[in-house]
Amino acid sequence: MTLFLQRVFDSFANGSAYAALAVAISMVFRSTGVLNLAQGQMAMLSAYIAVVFAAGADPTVAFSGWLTPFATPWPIWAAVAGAVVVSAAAGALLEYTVIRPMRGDPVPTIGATLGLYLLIGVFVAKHFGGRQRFLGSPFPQEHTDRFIIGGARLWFDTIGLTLVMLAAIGVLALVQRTTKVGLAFRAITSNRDSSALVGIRVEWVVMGGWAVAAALGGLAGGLIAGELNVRPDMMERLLIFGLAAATLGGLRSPALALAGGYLFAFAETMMAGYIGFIDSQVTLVWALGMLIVVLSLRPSGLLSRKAGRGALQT
Amino acid sequence: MTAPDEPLAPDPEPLVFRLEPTEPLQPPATPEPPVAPEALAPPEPPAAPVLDDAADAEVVTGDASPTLASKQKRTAPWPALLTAVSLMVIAALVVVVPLQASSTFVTDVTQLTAFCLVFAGLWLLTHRMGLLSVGHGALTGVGAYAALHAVNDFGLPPMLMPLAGFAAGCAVGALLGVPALRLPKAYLALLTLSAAVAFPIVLRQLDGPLPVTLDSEFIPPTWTGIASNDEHIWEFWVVVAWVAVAFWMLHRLLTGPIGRALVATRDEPTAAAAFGVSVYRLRLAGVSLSSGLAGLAGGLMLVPVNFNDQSLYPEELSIKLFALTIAFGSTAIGGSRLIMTVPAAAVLVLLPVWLVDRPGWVTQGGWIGFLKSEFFLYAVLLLVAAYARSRRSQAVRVYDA
Repeated sequence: MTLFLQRVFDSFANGSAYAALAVAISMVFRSTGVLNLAQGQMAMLSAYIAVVFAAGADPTVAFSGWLTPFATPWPIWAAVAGAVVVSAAAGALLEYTVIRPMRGDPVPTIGATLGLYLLIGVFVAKHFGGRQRFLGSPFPQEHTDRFIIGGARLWFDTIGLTLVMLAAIGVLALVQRTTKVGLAFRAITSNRDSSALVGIRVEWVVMGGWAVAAALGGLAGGLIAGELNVRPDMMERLLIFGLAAATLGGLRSPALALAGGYLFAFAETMMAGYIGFIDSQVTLVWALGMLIVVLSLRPSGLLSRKAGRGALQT
Repeated sequence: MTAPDEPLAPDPEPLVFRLEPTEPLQPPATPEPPVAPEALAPPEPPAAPVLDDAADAEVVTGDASPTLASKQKRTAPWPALLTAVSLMVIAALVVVVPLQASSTFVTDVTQLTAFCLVFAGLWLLTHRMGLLSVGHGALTGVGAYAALHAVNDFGLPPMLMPLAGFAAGCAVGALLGVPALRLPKAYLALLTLSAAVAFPIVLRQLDGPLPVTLDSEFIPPTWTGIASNDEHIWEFWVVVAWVAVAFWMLHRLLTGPIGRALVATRDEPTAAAAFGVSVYRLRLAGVSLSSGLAGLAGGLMLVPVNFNDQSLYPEELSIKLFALTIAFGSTAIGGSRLIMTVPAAAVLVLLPVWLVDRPGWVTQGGWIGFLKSEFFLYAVLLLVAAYARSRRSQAVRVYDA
């Protein structure tokens, strides 16, 4: 029982990151119909930006010169916050310069997101040498910083990461439900053309959606960096799990995407822990298998009432 | 009230729908009611093997009359004589080049030839069916894995091993297509990208971290007159023969009623369904065929390389394949023609050889190295091609409006 409980606790950190990426992917897909395959790379870049802020003028961290503008290293929480702001600005800029000109056409839009995927990867390789970096966690990480529950250890770091991600997603949901901006966002996800007719500035709202999604992904990247270290491929697995989690809600339900993130992390941890021939790498394959099963049984998402027999959908 | 066995009166106007904004239609002389998809057009005489995409400039009608078919022939962009001359030149190059060039170059060109099949599959999927796959690199690897183990474990003759790759590719493509094709197009991209990321992990789990060698060699038969140490020439000809047959069959398929029905599912799925086309099944068959072509190419990759390894099929390969398909199949470069798979494969294989992506260029070559890095070029290619394609589709929408 203790071991089971420990594995449940261990799945919280990954689950938070999967959930954040899944919610970000769902937000973008709801508002624009675009599947942003570069979401993971954007989060990875955000983690590197946090490293830049946190490293300051540390001579052991050899970045390109113009990427170390601050002589004094920032606290990690401030570095992550700074990276989130930069990510939000970059997300809005990318929507304006790259995605908007595609006008929602699916083939070029997905091509553009893959172009961003490669571009961010090569940018990181150029400026950070493709090497692994250490950022650390904004939460206490000493060996005594933990609770013991039923014999299992629940680290402060895991609690902090989970609570911050849940709080961020909760605030986002609250804003969507209670503010005019949120109402406008929900309106354009329901009917874009009618929203424009009633005076909603659709392009601004969509740009804001991209900014918030990028910020959420950036927050996930900055916080999970304390667990994974920062490296160019740190988000590949997270992206696949995030995509899989987002499909649980038919790519349109942030709540189900959130639940899916924790569900997939739980399943991953349990499979790696209890099934002998599945190591931590192969769990990715099982995530793909679960994805295929979910899409086969409930094509429009777990809670959708659509039968999903729409072979004519485009 | 109409008697049950009384034939329905034909529609006053035949059901005609346009796939591309081309020249005005000539209404068929004798209207007929809608018929089964196999009969969307009358059987065509054996066509000259012109590797162009006539369907992108053609019209699908419920009654493709002989007048319209002959008009399509007259407006074909490549006259038959030019096609025949081109094929003779290509045949001469296929014979002469491997005899004169170095073995390294011939091996590269052999891989290039096999990659043409991957691009043909992607071209079918992207440009003929309007679907998206970001996992054809993984499907190529699936074909290579199946072909290798069909020879090593089941004793399949190595000459036939690409068929095992084809079967495996079809099966995996169908597995991905069954759930994804009932949903918006983005889902197929999502599933195939996931497969592309997962495949190297699966292969390492199945075959271990070290490369697995093919337990057979391609020794040139004595009747060819090729020395046994010049096996690269024989390997090249074997691959060319397989690719030529596959291209010919694909061309015949796509210029027939099935090819037209595939285009109909891309542009007018509702109208295609009204004509009796099972859109879902046809799309599934198309995805499966496209994946099978990638698997066939994977089997052919073993001919020059003789081993399989997880590092040969990373997810970046799938993204590169997608990028070049978008770039070389759009109006940006060359138009949507099957023959454009050849320059696409040439860029894929020869760019890292001839150009810039030496170790350390990206990280140590400064901004010049960054700009010349392979991934940067692919990223720019993708963005430019995507922009050009979106402009084209906007123009089509405006024209239709």
